[in-house]
Amino acid sequence: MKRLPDSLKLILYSMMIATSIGLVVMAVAFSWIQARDYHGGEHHKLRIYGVAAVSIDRSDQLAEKDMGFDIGWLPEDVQVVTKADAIAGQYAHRTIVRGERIAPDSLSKTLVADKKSGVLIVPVTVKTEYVAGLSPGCRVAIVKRDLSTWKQSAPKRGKSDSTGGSECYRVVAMIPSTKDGSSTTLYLEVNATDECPFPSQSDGCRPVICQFD
Amino acid sequence: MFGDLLTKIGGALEKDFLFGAFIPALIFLTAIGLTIILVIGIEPVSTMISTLSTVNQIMAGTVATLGIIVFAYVMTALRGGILRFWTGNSMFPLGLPWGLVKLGESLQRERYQHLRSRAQRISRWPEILEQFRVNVDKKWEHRPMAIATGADILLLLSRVRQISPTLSEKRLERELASIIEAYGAFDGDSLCSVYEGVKRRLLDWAEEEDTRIQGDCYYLDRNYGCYASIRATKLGNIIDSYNHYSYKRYKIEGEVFWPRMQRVIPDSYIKLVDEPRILMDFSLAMTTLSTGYALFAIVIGPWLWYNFQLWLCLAIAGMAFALFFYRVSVGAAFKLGEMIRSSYDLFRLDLLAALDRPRPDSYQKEQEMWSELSRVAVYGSDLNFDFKIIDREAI
Repeated sequence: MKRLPDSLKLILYSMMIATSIGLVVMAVAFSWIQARDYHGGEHHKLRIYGVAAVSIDRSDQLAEKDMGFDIGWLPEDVQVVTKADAIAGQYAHRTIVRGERIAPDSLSKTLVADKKSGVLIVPVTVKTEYVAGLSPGCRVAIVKRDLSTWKQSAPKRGKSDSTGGSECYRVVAMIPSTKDGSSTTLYLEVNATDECPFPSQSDGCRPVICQFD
Repeated sequence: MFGDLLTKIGGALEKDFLFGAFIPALIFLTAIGLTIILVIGIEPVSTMISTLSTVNQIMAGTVATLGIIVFAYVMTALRGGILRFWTGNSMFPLGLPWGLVKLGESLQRERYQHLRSRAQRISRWPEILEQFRVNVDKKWEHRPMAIATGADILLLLSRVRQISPTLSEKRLERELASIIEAYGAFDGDSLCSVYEGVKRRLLDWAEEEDTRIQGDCYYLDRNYGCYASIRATKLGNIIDSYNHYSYKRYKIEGEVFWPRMQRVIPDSYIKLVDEPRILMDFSLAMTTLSTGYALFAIVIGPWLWYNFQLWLCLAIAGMAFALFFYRVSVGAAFKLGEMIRSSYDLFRLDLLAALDRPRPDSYQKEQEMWSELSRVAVYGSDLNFDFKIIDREAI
């Protein structure tokens, strides 16, 4: 090596440097290609996201404890839930199995009717004092304040019982008004084929309990 | 409060370990952690951490602390390798830097030769002045009686002002010859101011040139050891220069006798020597870890977030930090070199005394003594030499 002329040495060194740089660039490129292929495309990111800590049924109201966390690679544009308090009080639009990522679009603050299931969720706002003792899951009838039935001539919807012929509906949610504490909205499960048996906003009505589930 | 905390930590840990390994490890791992957190998002990470139980949080903190300490100890163990790498003595990893190292050595060798030729050049101004004096003297002997007028003198002085150190040798000769010619035409005494003007200018340039040569000698001595041991990097050559100093001046094998020297150097002075050494260790560790961060960004980055611009920017930032800290380490090595040189100048005779050798009468004798000792220490030579006679009772 020492006998080589300086110009040849310089060429040799330059070639070795080019080889070294080439190897480093190849290693870096390999890493980038592997990362892209592993994630099945570009724009992936390591993210922390909320997952269901328990299995959640459709229409269930979620609590903070229902959410756990997981870490993994997701596309950048996928919406995720990152705060447990953000899901508290929201309703699941679909069944979420345990460990599944909770997508924000599978939740909403109110229940939304699902026509395919043949059920409508109808809100009815009543005075808060009338909902004492009620909870989601119980069945109620909507009667007038004087406890007389709202619409005797209306066709039967729901199950009849001892409330003077009124129909009973399952309460799926109760949400107190944020503007007016004296009123609360009840969300009742009504057959999609039926007409609405009562006005959704009425001061003149109240719920009465038919039975608990 | 933060200062108190640092003081307490500093007291608990050795300064050497603290600055040479622990703080760089802490900065590096924090930077990596922060990068990952920023990629994932601060809010999700803090939410996730808050969901951990207190026991788990304490455990995570303990594991992180232990991780930093272990990493710092690994850094300490790798200190020799890190120094070899940045001084151009290592082919890590996989011999990849071979071409760079060889090219660096080649360039540094050329630079050394250039500097050496500059440092060993002889100033031309004393010779030019001497020639001018001799030539003027010759003309002075055959002077005619004509007296130079004020206008003649002014014309000659303007010619004197035209000569400058940037002129080529021939042009300078021509300019001086034209001034010397005047001494053939006029009375020499009337041209004293012209002679003084030329002499003053040439002497000034000689002084300037001498100062520059001294500067070049100093620069060469402080930046390079010897031709045979040229390193690929500036840092390597500076370290080599102070390792060679003791041998060049006193024939002391520096790397062999430095540990023995530390025995006779007072603690207060050792602390002064340690300051730049710790700074050099710190900056070299930071250089290495900044390079590590750049590699992390460009190689591991896409696995965290497939975003080329982000990781390229972070890799460039990492390399910029590495360059900055490398420059700092070069400055620290220079300071350390000065301290080590001065340690040899000040305490080498104390070391001789500690080795029970008599105090040498002359510089030459001292070099001979160190040569003998070096041979004994390095090669185990079977020389015989006298020990100093110590009056134990007087002690």
